[in-house]
Amino acid sequence: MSVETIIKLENVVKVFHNLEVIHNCNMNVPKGAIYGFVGANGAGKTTILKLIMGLLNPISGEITVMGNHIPAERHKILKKIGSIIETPIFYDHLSAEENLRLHLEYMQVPATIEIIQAALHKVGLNGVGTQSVDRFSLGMKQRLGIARAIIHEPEILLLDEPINGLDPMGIKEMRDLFHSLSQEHNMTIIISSHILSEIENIADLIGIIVKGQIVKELSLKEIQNAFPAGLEEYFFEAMNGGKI
Amino acid sequence: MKHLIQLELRKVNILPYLYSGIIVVICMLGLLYTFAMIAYLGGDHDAAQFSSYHNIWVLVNALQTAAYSVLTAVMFSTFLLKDYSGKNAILIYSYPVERRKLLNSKIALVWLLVAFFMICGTVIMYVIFSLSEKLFPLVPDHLSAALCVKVFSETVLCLFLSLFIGIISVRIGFAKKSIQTTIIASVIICACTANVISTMSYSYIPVIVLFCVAAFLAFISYRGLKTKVEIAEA
Repeated sequence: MSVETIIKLENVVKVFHNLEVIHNCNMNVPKGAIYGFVGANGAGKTTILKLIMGLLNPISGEITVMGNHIPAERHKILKKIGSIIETPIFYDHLSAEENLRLHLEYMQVPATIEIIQAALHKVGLNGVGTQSVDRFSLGMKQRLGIARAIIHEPEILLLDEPINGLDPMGIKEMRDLFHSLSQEHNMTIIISSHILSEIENIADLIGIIVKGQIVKELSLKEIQNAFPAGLEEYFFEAMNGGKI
Repeated sequence: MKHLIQLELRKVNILPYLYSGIIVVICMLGLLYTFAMIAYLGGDHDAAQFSSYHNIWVLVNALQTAAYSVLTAVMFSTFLLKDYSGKNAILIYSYPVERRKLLNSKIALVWLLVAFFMICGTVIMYVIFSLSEKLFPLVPDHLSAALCVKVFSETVLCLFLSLFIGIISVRIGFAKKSIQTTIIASVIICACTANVISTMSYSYIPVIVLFCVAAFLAFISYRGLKTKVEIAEA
């Protein structure tokens, strides 16, 4: 039985200031997958996530998300996407609950206190919902960003370095949360991170991006079969242009 | 649209702008009495310009226009420029709301707040000044219903000029996504227009011409903003 492709990039090119940052990029993300996105700094991970959301317009190529052409039909899919792109931004003078309430209302989802508290509970921010965000630590803001990304129960979750600023306990909690979202809600998750061991613990499908091009997409099992040392060995082989 | 305006209102802390509005009213009230005192204390030559309520209110309205134009530009800087710049833009563009509607809601909110500040401020000033003039007249003129209608009609005209100057300034500032550019642009435009507004004492033609030009430029500026926001990348 074939698995539905929920995100598809075909020969996508993006240029910034005459520099081609995304180069004939192809990407296929099956529905329900946890897609680990790895690459060096500046390889184009964030740019691809932004292209998927329609925040950037490609020069050429085609992007389809849930069958909708992006960016032309981005308004149809934004409600179904939760995201953390770069550092999460909040209205700092408002409380965590007020930030989430605003987000729900913009997402046109009923904003009840139960939904808000449940989201805060999922990310381990119980009891601080009424505190203003400017008193939050980096890790708490990151957790709140994850709460905001998942609160409207999106079908796709785009997470750009979501464990930045989290302590080891937080990293484990978020890993468990992403697993449960994928398994219980069949949520498709794309997660980019520099921490290869973390991607290895979370993802079931890996995309390696080198200089704006996804050079390989394969399952973690395939990597582990070919490279017993795991993703790290595979990644460096890919980065050094070795046979992969 | 109403819901989007309410959401915008919840996102920002309007207290600083409310305080600014109160400060503007206090300053304008001070100027109003200064002009009235010139009429009271000045010699024949000095007092001529300030010897009618209408002339005094024209000057106050010219100064109010300048003050509220700058306030409008400052508010646009917070409500619009900050939201559409840097990482905030990622958040604002990730909502499943038409970008045009979101922009309109921000502009509408700023316009409504400035209209509220300016109209309420003028009512407060008018009431205080009229009462004090009944008790201790400083100006050798008489208050009438016709004067009241005239003053408030001119205030509404000046209100629209402030709003137009605000949108023109933010369009200039939006090109560089610069708050400083927006505010400086509003100050420069005000400096150019305040003298024209003060000619209302003699003739409405220059102000009507100014109004038409400002309305046209504001419309062009709005169109430019809308295009910029719709094609913008985050």
